[in-house]
Amino acid sequence: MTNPTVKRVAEPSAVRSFIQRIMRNQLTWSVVALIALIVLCTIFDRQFLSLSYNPRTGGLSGPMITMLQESARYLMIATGMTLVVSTSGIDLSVGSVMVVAGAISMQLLSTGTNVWLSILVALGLGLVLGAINGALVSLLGLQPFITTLIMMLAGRGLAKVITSGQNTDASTVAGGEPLKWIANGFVLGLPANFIIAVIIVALVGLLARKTAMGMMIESVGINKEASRMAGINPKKILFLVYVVSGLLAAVAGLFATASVMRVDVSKTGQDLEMYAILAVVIGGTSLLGGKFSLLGSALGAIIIAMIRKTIITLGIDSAATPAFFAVVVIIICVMQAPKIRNLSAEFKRKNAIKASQKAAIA
Amino acid sequence: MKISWKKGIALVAASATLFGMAACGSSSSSDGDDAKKTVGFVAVGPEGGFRTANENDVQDAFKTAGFDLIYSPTQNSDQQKQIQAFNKFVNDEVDAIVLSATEATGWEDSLKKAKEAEIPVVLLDRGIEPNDTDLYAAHIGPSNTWAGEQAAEFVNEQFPDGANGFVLEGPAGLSVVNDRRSGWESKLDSKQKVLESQSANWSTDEAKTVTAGLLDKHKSQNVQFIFAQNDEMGLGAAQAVDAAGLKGKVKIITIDGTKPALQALIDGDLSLVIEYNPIFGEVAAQTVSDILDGKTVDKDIVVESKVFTAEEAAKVIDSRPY
Amino acid sequence: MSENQPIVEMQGITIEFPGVKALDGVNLRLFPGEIHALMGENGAGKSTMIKALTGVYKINGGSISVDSKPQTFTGTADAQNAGIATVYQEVNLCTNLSIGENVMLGHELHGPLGINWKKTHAQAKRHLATLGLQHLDSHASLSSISIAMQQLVAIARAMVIDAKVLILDEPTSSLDANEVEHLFSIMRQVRDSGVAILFVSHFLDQIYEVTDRLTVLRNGTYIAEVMTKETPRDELISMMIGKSAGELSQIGAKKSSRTVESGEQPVASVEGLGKKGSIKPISVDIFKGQVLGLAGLLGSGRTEFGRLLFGADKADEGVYKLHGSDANIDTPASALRGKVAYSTENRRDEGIVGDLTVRENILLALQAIRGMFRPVPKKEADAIVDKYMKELNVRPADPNKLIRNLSGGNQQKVLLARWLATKPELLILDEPTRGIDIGAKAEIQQTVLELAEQGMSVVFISSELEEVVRLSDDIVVLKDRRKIAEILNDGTISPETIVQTIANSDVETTNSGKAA
Repeated sequence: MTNPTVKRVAEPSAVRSFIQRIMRNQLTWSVVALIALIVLCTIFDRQFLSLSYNPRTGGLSGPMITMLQESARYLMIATGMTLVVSTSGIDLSVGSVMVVAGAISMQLLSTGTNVWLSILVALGLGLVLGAINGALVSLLGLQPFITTLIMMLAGRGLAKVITSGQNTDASTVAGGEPLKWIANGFVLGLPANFIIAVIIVALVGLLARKTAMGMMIESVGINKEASRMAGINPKKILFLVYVVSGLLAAVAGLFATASVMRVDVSKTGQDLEMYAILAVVIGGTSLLGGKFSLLGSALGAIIIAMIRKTIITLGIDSAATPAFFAVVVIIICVMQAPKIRNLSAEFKRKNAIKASQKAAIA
Repeated sequence: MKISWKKGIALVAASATLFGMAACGSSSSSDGDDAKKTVGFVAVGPEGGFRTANENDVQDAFKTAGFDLIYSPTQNSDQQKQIQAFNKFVNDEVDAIVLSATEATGWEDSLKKAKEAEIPVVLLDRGIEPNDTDLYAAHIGPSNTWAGEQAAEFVNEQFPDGANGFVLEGPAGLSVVNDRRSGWESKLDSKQKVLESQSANWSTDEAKTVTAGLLDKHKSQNVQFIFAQNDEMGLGAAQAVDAAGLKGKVKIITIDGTKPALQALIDGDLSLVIEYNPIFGEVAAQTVSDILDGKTVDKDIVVESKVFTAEEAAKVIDSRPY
Repeated sequence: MSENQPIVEMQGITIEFPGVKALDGVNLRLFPGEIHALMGENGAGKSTMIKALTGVYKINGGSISVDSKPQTFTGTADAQNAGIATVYQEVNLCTNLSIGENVMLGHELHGPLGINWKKTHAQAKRHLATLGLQHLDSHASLSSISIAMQQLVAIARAMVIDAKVLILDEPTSSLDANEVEHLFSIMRQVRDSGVAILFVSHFLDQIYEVTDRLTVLRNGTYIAEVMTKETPRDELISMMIGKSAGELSQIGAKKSSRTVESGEQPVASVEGLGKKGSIKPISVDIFKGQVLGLAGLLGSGRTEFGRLLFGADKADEGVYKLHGSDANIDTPASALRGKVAYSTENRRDEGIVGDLTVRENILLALQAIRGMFRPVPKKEADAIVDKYMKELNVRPADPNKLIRNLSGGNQQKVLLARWLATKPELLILDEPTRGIDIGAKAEIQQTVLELAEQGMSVVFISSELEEVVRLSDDIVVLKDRRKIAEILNDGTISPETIVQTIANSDVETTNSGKAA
């Protein structure tokens, strides 16, 4: 180490370790990705970050606002999915639960049911579908993938039964305003659904981290048998996460349908289970289960909404949008991979070794 | 509610097919006496207002005409399921097949099999590509190209000096999307400027998001028209336009003519709705019956559709079944 | 034998992890045809040294040469190519594959149509036969044979690559006496064919029985290389721990046996507790402050009985009483609520929750008893974690480390802390000292005695009879899933007594009041 070639300009070590910590943190890269997408959009559309007050809606308007509005549903399903994935499970039925909840709410509303009752029934139905998933996975020990795949298929069928195959429209039904407001209204200038979603995510976060729920979910996800031997009831935990996921998917379904006050039985929630899984992965929760990060998943959900916004803003050809989506997600995942994150450190180490070897020869 | 639950049962049967329990069809092949002719209906299933109205009408018309119609819908526009159903009908030796294809391409082999088995095939709504007229007996349906043309002509009429706007398309690659686009492009005056075409996947919800994004992006361009390739997307676009405070300033043109769209037309949310007439069950039943009787029929039967303005919509809305 | 050239020579090996020097200039020489023991306490650097030799870790300093050729290993494949084969501490095979597939994994024989399974299995059988394992069915699933047998399969697997050096890291920790003997005969056979064997074990007896040469490490530094025969035990121990042997008092030697008052109410009492296919009905009373040893060979039903007491398996017959009243113990949760705790023998699969921190692992069971929505208050949790980590001397003393990064002995201490945090009245310890180093072992034994003195009842299960005899007040002897005797440890009992009891078990032996 006395070799002068190895010596570098020393940074204060506190600063360096802080930077290192930031570089290693997965969330950092999610934030970087989000900012990169926003910068990209701003280059294409100088007005992208502009906000204006819209007196008609009583809120701000602008590209970022519609993005946040759309992110609300992803926040919901990504949060539920995070808990499920943490138990090393998966919930493929979130998109279908969304359409069921949307279908029942629109159908009830259009047949004259009170709006609050409609919302309640929709949430209740989401809860029940989640409970069925949970019961099959926990009590019968079925594989989560198969169980929720069946629910995914059956759910969409159920939605079609509920509306008799129609795309039920409740936009002109009197008394539907509260539901419409939930998806389209504004609180303090910000989209109401985004605010509601953030509050729900925060509540789930508090529930998970301020009680022992989070630790128990992780424990079951990491080692189910050891958790059982420690007195935890893994069945209860598994049941719980699927119920939560179903309930949150129902909220997402309300957001999606209330946005236009119309359920589209074959389109609402379609492919959204994939978005939820992607958000979870971007957020840093391993699909093998274990430690989860709700904050990471929430960030992942917003990134998903941002990618979709980018597609519109850049005017990407519709045939190419899935490919664009895939490329962005892959780039984010690669940036987060530990190997890549350690790459710079590895380079430094190799250079140092080379330098010392040269010195040794000389 | 009673009727809808019956439909519901049909839908449950539809989902049952999806789970691999191919339920329907097997009972049909046994009728040796010529009392009732059996017709297999390879259908799309629940997709939207148009499809539901169309398929209900076809089913009713064939039943009224005294056919034994076996309805076999697919799910989520899955062509594979349709091909399976089609081949099953061929194997079961039905008397005729009516096919409402989800996709135009990929039908050659199945149609050849039907031809070999001497089972006449009548195409409903969507044609096939490449359009080999030897492979089917007749094609019945409204014209997508025509619908696109009507939309363009309306824009030309409304804005003789030219205007800016954009197009909301269905999923890339579908022949409906291509036909409606080519009709639109063929008639659209060069003074009119399409700022951007984007897909909103036939979905109201997505159309709203996409429209909001496009309105933001082209704020300075004075957008005056939006051509939505179907009603669902038009309704979404209308909501985005409304939220942006541009209601009445942007003309929205849609194709299909479902009841919610006509209502929106009357309410002033939409400016023009071009019908894509789903009611041709009777024509279809008559055509099939003629073919089975050995009469010659036209290869391409175009179903007439209407163009609705708010006034005309008000006249028919109450009697509109879908 | 030692006149020849070393096959492996590691010189001045240094390995650094962020903030720690795991190895600092350590030397190791392995000679062909010799069994070499790597000795040291946990954390001395044995595993790190092995990982350097097998290419898992890159070395930051020093040199490795194999067959006098300098080597730089950049991965395990390099080490394997150099002829170094390894069997790790915990069996690391694929339990869902067949035995043959495991043996041949990555070395399958190929035919024109991909892998020729017939030939591959035949080859696997030959490899197994050379180790005297010809009775194993190469097509059977690995999970169908005992852990002990899996261990031997792992050695067969290591031999497939025609190794010059065979590394056995704690191979004996899960074997019983017969199996150890079998293993040793295999090791000697392999040694005599000219292979150098590096052997790691915590059992000093085994070291003296089978090895030729020793290298001793302490705190990541090299202490000495000596011939086994020329080194007395106490000298070896003091080299390892850096203290003289006399300081290690014989734990439990001065212990006076606890006597049961007549009419005393047992803490726990089971009558005819059994489970079909697992263990025949057993009756046992366990009193306050009593250490009840469970002795018997591997597979005698020791663990099965422990699991029944804890409700980990559900008994299908018998009566279970706690403090004289019927208790319904059918899940671990119900046992914990009844103040019964059980520390598993299968630390990796049923004990630790690897990706949780030490702190979380300690709090897990206590939290489970309290319920999800009544979290242990942070202050209380801190106090509990701090208390037990100190009392049990958990190293490193950082509660926020992931438990999987701790050594086996420290994981065991954390698990013990988990159970103690629930304040159990009856603590069942299944092989608590298996696979951990002398220091930690002594600490755990000491803790058991202290707990009993404070009034806790302990059921102590171990395959080391010496340990059972030294710690227990009473010893229940099991054989063939039956209780064959209960022996009062009055000071005249020795491991021999128990061995004889098992051997003569056709005659039911009882020297205390309790019948089998």
